[in-house]
Amino acid sequence: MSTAPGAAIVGMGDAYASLDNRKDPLQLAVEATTAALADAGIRKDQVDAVFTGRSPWADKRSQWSNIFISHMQMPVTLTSELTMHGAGLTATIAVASQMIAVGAAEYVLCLQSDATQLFVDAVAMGAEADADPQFEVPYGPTIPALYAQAARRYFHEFGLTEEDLADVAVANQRWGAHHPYAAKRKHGEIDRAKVLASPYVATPLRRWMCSTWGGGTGGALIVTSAEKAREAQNPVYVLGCGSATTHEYLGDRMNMRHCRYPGLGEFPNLTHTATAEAARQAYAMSGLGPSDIDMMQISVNFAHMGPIVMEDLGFAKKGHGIDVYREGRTGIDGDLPTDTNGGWLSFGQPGISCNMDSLVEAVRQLRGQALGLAPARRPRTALVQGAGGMLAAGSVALLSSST
Amino acid sequence: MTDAKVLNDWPQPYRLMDAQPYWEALADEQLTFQRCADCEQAVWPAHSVCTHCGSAGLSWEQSSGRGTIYSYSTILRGPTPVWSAIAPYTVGFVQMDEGYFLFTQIEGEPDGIEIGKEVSARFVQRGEQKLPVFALVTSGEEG
Ligand SMILES: [Zn+2]
Repeated sequence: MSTAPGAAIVGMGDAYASLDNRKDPLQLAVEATTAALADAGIRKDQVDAVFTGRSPWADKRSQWSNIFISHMQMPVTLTSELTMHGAGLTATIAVASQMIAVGAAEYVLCLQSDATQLFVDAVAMGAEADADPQFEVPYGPTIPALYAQAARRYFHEFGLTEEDLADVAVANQRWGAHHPYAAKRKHGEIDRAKVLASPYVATPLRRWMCSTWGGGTGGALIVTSAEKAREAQNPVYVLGCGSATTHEYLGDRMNMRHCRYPGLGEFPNLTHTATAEAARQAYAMSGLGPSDIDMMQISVNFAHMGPIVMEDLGFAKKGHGIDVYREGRTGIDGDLPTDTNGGWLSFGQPGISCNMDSLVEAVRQLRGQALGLAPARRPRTALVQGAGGMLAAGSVALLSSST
Repeated sequence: MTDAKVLNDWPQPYRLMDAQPYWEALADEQLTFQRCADCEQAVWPAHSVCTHCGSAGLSWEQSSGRGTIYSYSTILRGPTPVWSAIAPYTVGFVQMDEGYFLFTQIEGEPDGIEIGKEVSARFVQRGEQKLPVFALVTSGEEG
């Protein structure tokens, strides 16, 4: 039994760029916002607040949310960036809902865009942006190598293998091969052997087990009250939200002796993430549980995060998340279609906007407007999980096409 | 400093004041960490207040420089030219005998590196900075 939702998404806009069709983050944000306003049937002057995640990698000016409203010549009562490294973007839905619930806003715009591959040498910048500049960067870690610390522990503690991770990549590519904007679409569907033949990027992670930077995306969502949403065409209700973060730098996390959130297990560990606590909050707020979810868009930037996130979200006991993939549950005919645009592994990570891509995909599927494949059974209740940093932060939003 | 220089040199630590004694000791090839006088636990990274009990009674101690591998990854593709030049290289967390976890480089053949293996520290010059890196303890050195 769920409680009545307080807020709903009544406008959605998305925008895409590629090497052949270059657009910068500001252009992508304007295009997505213009489409979202039209979809919601409102003017820009009706938007009371604008929330973004952190500045796009391809346009690192700080105060980016305020730069955006300045560029739009669109005065509002509040702008801010919700960061939690990158997970804050998913939490913009929660903060928008809270403002609306207390009457502080009628319409809130949640927005992000990025186009890293088109403007930035992300490999050179990667580790410096995400590792501790004092105690980690001097050793030359890359983002895959930092995530691989968790993969290696996950293998060690639960007996998983590279073959298991290959199955995650195969499952996601089955969706991504059919999405027009997926970075890895051109490769078509793949098999386990193809993944295991790809070279190591950082052991035990091979190239097909890693996300790629891909193109550019922009996404904009207009949030308003559930009451106002009754007049809307295709409202998507916000049933529950939650978020948590444990660290910025992996070295801080490793040296924590305990954690206030029981879902994160005994410390130290690298096999549980803040998503476990974020999910607990979202389930509690909505009155829903894992069995009520019929679609997911999650943050799988490296293949081992698929099973780890499945476990943190309550779909398997720790160490058994791979079963959800092995049993075909995440596929088109499964009971839990997951990462239906290919997810971060196959759709790619255009940059900070990757968590917005997940929200856009969820809204499109709930409305029956998929750009790629749609699940055999149209989903009604979706879980969107956004992660940020090096296993650092997690945010969960439960969305539904019905109240 | 130009971008080209940044990309072609060893990255230098972004030194914060809490860790000043750590960096100074490294110049003399001494590996140090903090311990709390109240809860007696090792504290790492460097802090001004104990992360375990909140005490301000932290003091610096010399580490044995020995520990075991908690996790690791061998990087095949270095992020910048200086790292590409030494790839493949391995980074990971060492669980120090004193009870804290240090992120570091683990030297040696990648195939020989495993979770739980014993390692000990040695010091390398990286640009202006001396850094501790770790290597597997061979059986002859044990005890
Ligand atoms: Zn203490």
